[in-house]
Amino acid sequence: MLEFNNSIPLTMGVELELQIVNRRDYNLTRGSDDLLRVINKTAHGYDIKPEITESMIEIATSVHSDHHAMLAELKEMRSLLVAAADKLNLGLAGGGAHPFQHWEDQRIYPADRYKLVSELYGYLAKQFTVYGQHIHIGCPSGDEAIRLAHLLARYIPHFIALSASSPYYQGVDTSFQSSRLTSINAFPLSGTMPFVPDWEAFNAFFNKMAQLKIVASMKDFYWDIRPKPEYGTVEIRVCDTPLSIDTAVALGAYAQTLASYFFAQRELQPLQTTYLTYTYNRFQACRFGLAGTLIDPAGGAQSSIQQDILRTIEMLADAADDLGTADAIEQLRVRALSGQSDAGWLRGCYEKSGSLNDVVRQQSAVWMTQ
Amino acid sequence: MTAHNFLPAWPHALNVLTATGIILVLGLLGAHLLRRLLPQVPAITGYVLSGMLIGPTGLNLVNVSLLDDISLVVDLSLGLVLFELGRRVDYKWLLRERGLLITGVALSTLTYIALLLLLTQLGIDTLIASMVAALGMATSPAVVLNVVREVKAEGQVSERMINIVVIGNALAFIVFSMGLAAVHVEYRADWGSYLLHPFYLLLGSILLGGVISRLLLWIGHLLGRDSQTQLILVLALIAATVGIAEMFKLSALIALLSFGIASRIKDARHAIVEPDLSPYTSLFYVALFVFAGANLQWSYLLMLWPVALAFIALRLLIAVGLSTGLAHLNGIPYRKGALLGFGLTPLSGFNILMVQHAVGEYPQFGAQLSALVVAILVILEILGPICTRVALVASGEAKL
Repeated sequence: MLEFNNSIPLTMGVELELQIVNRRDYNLTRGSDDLLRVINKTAHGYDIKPEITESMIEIATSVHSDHHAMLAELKEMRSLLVAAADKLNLGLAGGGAHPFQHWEDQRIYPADRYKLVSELYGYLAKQFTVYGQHIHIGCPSGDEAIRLAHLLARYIPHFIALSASSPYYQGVDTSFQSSRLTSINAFPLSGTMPFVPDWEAFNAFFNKMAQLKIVASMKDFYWDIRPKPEYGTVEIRVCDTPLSIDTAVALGAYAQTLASYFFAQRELQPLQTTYLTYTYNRFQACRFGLAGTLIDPAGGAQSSIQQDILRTIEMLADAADDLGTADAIEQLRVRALSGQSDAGWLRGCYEKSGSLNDVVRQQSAVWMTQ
Repeated sequence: MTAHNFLPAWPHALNVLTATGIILVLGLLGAHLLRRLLPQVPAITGYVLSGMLIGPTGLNLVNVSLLDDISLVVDLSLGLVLFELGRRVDYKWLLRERGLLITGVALSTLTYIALLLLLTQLGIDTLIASMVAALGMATSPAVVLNVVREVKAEGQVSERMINIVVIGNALAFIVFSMGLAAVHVEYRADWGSYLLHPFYLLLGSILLGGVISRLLLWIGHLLGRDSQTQLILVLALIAATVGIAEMFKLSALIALLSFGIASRIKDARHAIVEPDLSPYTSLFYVALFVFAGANLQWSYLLMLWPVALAFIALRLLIAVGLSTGLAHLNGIPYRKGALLGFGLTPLSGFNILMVQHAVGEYPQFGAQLSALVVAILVILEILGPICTRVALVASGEAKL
């Protein structure tokens, strides 16, 4: 039986996976160990840790209810990271995938868990050198977490389109706005949570999977949205790491506002049809971003993801005012309205400079200063 | 009617291209053989050993005059290495990261002073001692770059090693040039040569590098960011710089180093995509190190082995000791600091060329100087690359 550690509703936390690049040709470089050594010389109390390959580093905020405080904390973490990176002549960058790294060059971080993953998944482990943002939203109970996860599923394309920042992969333009999610599809336990009604039913499912020896813990599910019983949260895992921390925080606030709306609107019930449209909508968001088509599972109406985001933001106006997230939501509204995304910005850089090395130089400058 | 004799006369010596071909093939075979016997030994050591085998002191397949003939290929190889080294120096980092700058300068200074004292204690003429001690500051850029690439090393030990190599080579060159001025004095050359020669060498070479780097940026901007086009441009300018340096009797070493550094500093528009010279350099590295091996002469070592061993031991002690002591300043643990110092063991083989070019006018002095340098190099050409490889592997920065 998985114990759901109930947490204060609508608290949130954000995890960001960052690219470590050299400052010569801006390729990924092995640097997480050197970086952590310098950072950990002083007691800082922040959650900064290595990830599966040595050119990745993950930072996680503490638990917040106010996104302004979260932004302030992320800025402090960034100063710490930038100082260490400056000392070591490394660059740090957002973006869901490094534009021109070769996956076979990547090195698995020497920790037992990652070695096991690498042995199990073979080349998929090195291809997993992609960079995402995870958003956690606190839930008062396991049942609420299951309900929230199902309700959020319809809005997953929003998170993909608003964060999309991996148009280039292995040196080519993939024509996708977010190519990163495609690397995750390859894992056998990726996808979505089954349509279970409550925490008890979820536990029955989990126990069955454990008995079949398919999984040992929740960590083995690489789902887009999953309950995280240890933290008492629902975790959204589809976002590319945005180019700047502002966007990352705004996305956190958007998830928080959606959750607050769902917690308040008790009449809303999860729909199984959501999962019929799910992969279609998800693909549209990855491939076309804001311009993609979204099929509303409730009525079958089609609209652009951009339109759907703008409508949702209108729907959330009151909730945002009550929660104090109106400024962050407005930032996303402007972003959606302009049709611009991080992926578009990266393509613009490449068009001007003609060099992917220079694109990474610029994206690193954005993350380290803005 | 006499038959037209279309058959050539039997050649009595190899020509340059044949010799180059043979050198490359034998270098590859030597490295391959060594790798099968000792998989942990870097390819460079194999090249050097092949060179020793076929060189004048070995089988004499490649004799002294032939070595002279192919020096053009070698000069070009050196040019590539120095340019690459220059591109890998980030002066902004050196200014920001004082710990590294201090380590580099302290290491060179201390090495020079200690070696100078040692050599004079051993009864070597002060001027020669000073010049050999100066060369002791110069870790071989070719060896370090090549081994870093061979084991795909990435991380602080590798990056800091490369920057320290640059600092050491630059200081070695400056002190060596000053020694050269003193040689002019000792041999009573006219005042012009002892004052002006070092200045001419240093400033002229830097200026040449600067001008060529401007040319690279300008033409590079004009041609756009196609990496193949830029690569050809870079190779062309490297060849031209080596040639111009030779014509004007400047130091190709300093010219190429400053070409590399300046082409990165001045590139505000980021017009130049980092050129990947590796397919070309790997070819030239083979030539370079077989050549270096062929040039080595064991006879000097037999004569001068006590001095050579003392020199190597003291130099190693200082490098390992100091870089361990300054590890924290560099943000690395003591163990990696020690490995950093150990990896700096290879001595620059350009030193022989520098000696030959510089003191050619004073054969008697030059002979003493180069005997000592060669005696030291014989050992370090073989052991140096192994030390660097061991350091990079043990630091965990190699990808094997």
